[in-house]
Amino acid sequence: MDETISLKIIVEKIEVQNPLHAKKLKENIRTLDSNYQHWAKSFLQKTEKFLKKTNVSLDDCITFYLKKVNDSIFEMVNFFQTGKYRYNSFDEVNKRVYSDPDVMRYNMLSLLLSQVLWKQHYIIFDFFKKHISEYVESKSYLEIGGGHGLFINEAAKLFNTSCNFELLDISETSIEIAKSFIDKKNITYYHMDIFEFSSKRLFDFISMGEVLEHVEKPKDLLKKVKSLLKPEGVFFITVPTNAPDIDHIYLFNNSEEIRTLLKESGFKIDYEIEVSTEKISVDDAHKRKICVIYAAFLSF
Amino acid sequence: MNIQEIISQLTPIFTEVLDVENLTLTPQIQADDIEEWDSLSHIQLIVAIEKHFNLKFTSLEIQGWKNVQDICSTILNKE
Ligand SMILES: C[S@@+](CC[C@H](N)C(=O)[O-])C[C@H]1O[C@@H](n2cnc3c(N)ncnc32)[C@H](O)[C@@H]1O
Repeated sequence: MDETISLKIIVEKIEVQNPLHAKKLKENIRTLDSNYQHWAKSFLQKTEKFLKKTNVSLDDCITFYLKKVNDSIFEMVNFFQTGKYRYNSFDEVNKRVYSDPDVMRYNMLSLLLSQVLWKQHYIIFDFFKKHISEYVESKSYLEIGGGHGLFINEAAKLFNTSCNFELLDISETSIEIAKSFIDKKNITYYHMDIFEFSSKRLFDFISMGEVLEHVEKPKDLLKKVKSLLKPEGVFFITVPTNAPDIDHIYLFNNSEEIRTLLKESGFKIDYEIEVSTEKISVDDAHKRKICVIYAAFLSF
Repeated sequence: MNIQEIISQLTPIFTEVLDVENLTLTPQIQADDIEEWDSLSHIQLIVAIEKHFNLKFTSLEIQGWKNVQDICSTILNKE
């Protein structure tokens, strides 16, 4: 199957069920360059194999994805009306989302599809790939809240084979999905809350994508990360602002709030990027309380 | 209320939120027919419709919306 066609097929299938969303995807895809087309091809090839392995059809995956899109609309309506995220308790979200295999499955599989369908997710992943090559000599790598495992899978492809990879996630379903998605075999998986994790060895590289907004006290989480990182270690983080979701409990109103927290926690920003999720500038998005994704490589 | 009455109340909401003039809404109109009706303005539309009709849609109700007719039917069902 030709994968550019696959992207087309996915959008066509989405269009049948949700024309409004398909309209946005077509625009997204149109604005991206040929590098994107190239990457999308290999990503979809990989995803196709992964779906087969996990016995999920493309149609099911699209249904999951559209449910997630709808969740997001529903949460955004509430967010525009109240200015707050609907949920604020970790225990509640843990019970309702991370511990429920059905919810977590549709959540993670749709997140995986969003990597190729959402401009912002592609741009952030591209930023990650661009800079990660500087750290290939790392000897130890920890991913916190790895979800589907796309990021650690990329690092495992590029880093020296001697690097030790570990992946931690509070959701057993995420761990199972990551195990089938990630090509590298010798990765150590931990099914636990990051706050319960301890390690005798410190890490050269820690990656934590879209997790900071899932905890009640982000400052404590950054403190935890710092305690796990070598003094010369590097920390990659991504955080969305104004992003109501079924499991987001801490609201960042703008990138500056994130930056300030990172600096207060003792991190120095080496590279950073902000990507607006709509056809408006980052500043406009912040003003209108529309999601922007912030990502950075940090050191001490 | 019937569909026509709902449409006549939806028209000024669409006109204002989407910032378009001379809008004629019909049941069949969908996002592809109005350039300004995109994923972002869609949320603003839902917010404005909930406010105007003083109701709250469930997640399931907004899920199936493809055109103006779908929105009208949901509003009618909630009466
Ligand atoms: C939104 S996903 C992000 C997946 C991936 N890192 C990415 O950037 O696309 C968040 C992941 O973090 C996990 N998670 C949330 N809170 C956690 C916690 N306190 N400890 C460990 N993992 C957590 C969730 O189970 C989920 O798999």
